[in-house]
Amino acid sequence: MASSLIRLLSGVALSLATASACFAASSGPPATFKLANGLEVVVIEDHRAPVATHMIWYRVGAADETRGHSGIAHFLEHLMFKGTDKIAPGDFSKIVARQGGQDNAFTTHDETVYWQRVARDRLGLVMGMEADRMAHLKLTDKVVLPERDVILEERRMRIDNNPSSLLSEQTAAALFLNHPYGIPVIGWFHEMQKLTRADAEAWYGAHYGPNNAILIVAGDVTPAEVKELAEKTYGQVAARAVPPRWRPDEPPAIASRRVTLVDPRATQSYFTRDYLAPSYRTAKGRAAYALAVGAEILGGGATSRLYRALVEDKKLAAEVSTSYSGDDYDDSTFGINLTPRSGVKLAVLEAAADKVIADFLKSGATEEELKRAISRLRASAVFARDNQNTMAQIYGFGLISGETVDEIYKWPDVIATVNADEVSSAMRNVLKPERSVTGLLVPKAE
Amino acid sequence: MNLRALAIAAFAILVLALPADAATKPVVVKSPGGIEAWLVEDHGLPAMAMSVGFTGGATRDVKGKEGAVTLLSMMLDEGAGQYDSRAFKQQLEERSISLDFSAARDSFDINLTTLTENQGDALRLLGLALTKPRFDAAALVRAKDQLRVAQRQVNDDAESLASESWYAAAFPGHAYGRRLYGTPESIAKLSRGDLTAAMKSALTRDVMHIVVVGDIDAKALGAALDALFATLPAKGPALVGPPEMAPPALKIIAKDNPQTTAMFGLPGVARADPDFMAVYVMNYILGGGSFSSRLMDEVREKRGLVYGISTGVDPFFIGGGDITGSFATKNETAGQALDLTRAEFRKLAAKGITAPELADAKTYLTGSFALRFDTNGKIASQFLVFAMQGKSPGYVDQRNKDVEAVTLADVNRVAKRLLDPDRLVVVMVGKPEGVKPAP
Repeated sequence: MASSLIRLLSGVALSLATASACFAASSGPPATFKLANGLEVVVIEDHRAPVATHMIWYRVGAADETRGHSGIAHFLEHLMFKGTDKIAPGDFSKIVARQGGQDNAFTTHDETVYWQRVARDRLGLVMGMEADRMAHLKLTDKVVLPERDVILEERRMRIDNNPSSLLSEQTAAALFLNHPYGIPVIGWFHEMQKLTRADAEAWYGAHYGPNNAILIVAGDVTPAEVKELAEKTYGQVAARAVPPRWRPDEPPAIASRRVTLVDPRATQSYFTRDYLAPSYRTAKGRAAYALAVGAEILGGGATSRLYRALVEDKKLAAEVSTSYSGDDYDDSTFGINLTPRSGVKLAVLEAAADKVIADFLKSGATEEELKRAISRLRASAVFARDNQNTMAQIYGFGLISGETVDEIYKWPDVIATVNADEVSSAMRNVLKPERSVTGLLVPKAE
Repeated sequence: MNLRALAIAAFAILVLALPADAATKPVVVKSPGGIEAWLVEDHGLPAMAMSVGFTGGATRDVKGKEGAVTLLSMMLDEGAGQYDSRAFKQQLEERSISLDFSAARDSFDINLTTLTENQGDALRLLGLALTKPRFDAAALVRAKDQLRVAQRQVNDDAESLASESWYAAAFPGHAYGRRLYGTPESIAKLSRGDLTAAMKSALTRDVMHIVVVGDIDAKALGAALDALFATLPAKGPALVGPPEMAPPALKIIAKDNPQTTAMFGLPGVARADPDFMAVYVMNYILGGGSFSSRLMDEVREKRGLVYGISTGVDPFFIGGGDITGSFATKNETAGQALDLTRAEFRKLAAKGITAPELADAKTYLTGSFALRFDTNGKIASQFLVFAMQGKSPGYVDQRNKDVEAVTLADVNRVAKRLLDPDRLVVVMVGKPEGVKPAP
């Protein structure tokens, strides 16, 4: 099945960072409840159109894989469309389409997510189908083996054909010395080739069950309706013993690292810098909120420090961006991405960027910058409410990473109270050379 | 402007807008000066989205000055009136106003979104950009280089390169086949005067369509329209006619990738063609229906040759249209995947579709209709496409009836007429093996 491997796509990571959690105060937090079998349920009401977005979020992703089996979480995501006793291989999506609905799934390091968008009166049907494959997946080599070829083609398309994707895969591997965030979600090619039906069945058996999942329904529905449907469908699935989530910690970061990818296929060079950064779950106090504000001031938009210095004043960069997603379960990354202008050497661009960073860490944010960043982040929370799918994702990513519904709901209010000292302190703790990997994509011509 | 986003947007195949239910039917608002806009009033969020489209887009580029219209889209938010580039962007960002200008092959689009509390400023800033753009020298130098960077990013991305190259191969000598970002030679020549000229020919009221969705009423919108658009020229030069597709061809662009990225296409029909909806339904069954299409079944599900394979119906705003598709497969199986694709074209043309296939296509296409209208931003862009296709606001109630009216005989007739596998223009990027030359 199609999957968006969220952490492989920098653009997506950036938009999630800005959207990271939201609601304007007027609408109230989503309703939540729990079924007897442990399934958590979140209902986000949006009655503007007679449609619903239904998502099941499993608390398992690529960072939970055992060494040597990279890609199995994502492979199983594909195989979940291969049928049960009731539904023939490949029919799941066809049935949804025949109801005028759309469906897909995606895998990240922390979660595996299946979703459908349907007219509100078809919600019960897709909930029944999703509950069915939560417990009754049936796999044969006849369907598993061609699908393994499909994920290998997916890897070639997303990564191996694409020099900048290869660079980010390499920089992640260098940044995480011990934690599995350094292993690509889609898997290493040589390990993907060896994945088997038995691997997939073992993975499914160990991790899939109502007590390891969150159901999120957004759209033209009420909590009472959803509860009734959930009891009838997911409520019939027994809880399974699930291993506790455990990942190895990073050792102390003591050495800055550099990764240079020389790729003769490329004609445009790139500069990236990734720093190990805490998430909303792992950060002390309000540091993650301060990092979100800091990322906005440093590289968010055309009034940011990096844009003004590198694009406008020094004329060295064609585009700049920063990314910080605090929605990872464990410590993750604060990223800076720069595209040099024609003829600009990466070393010159890097030196100029380092000066911008050093100046920011030294002098801190101005009141005007702080105000503008907070206002933009708060506005993004209002714009997010226009899209029920975005809202469902904000709560899904937040909950899986260990935030509470209340924390996610109050995100804009907390952002509003972040002060300049907090931003300086959080940025100084994170933007240290020894916590970083510098990535360079070098076309052969350079 | 994010160049990567620009590159992606530029190559997205136009998806046909599917109409909504009566609840979201727009009303036509007319300004005192006679400018019309479609309005969907909705006060659920304290925000507004405005989408403006001008038919023509990059086809307005003058020969030798390719890329001018794209450059214009990059320069319109680089300063206006009393504000230089930095001040203008600060005005927008302080208020969280999003103002995007973008150029596509046959349209020029403006998208404005704002919170209600900043609505007045958002409209004022858009008005300034359209009436008093500065096109300052420093910003122009910067934007021209960003255009060069965008062109390299296209070259480095197999899908973008295959798409750009396919249009060039399919429509040589026509404006539709030109590079959206120009060439190094044409970019070097572009001047401030070219921007002014591009604006005069590409942003004219005779080809302008406006859709507004959200927290604004008819009176406020009507009052704003004249200030925004009245100074644009009433009439532009004649639009170019629809392009004729080149003879069947196979073009291989060598790239040392492990996977071959293919784009293929043949002539389709215009949106105004009475057979359009039959072609649209046919396409769903052939390759438009995601996991419910014949190509997906044959090439991905049964054989695991690709991650995705799809086809799309692409009617041009300037008239005419094509049917295009794409897939990516390891170099070793490129020939096999293309053979399978041709075989599905041949089979559908020769044997037609089944009644259950037609029924499934109709239930999806009519049933998924409401999913296109569940956010303000989507409503605005969908209705803009309708407006640019010459439909009335009431078409939203007619569209599903048009889908239902398509018969098995209609689909089989258009399949026989259009789906000639020997007519395909094919472009492959990579090191494809086993590919047979064009017939």
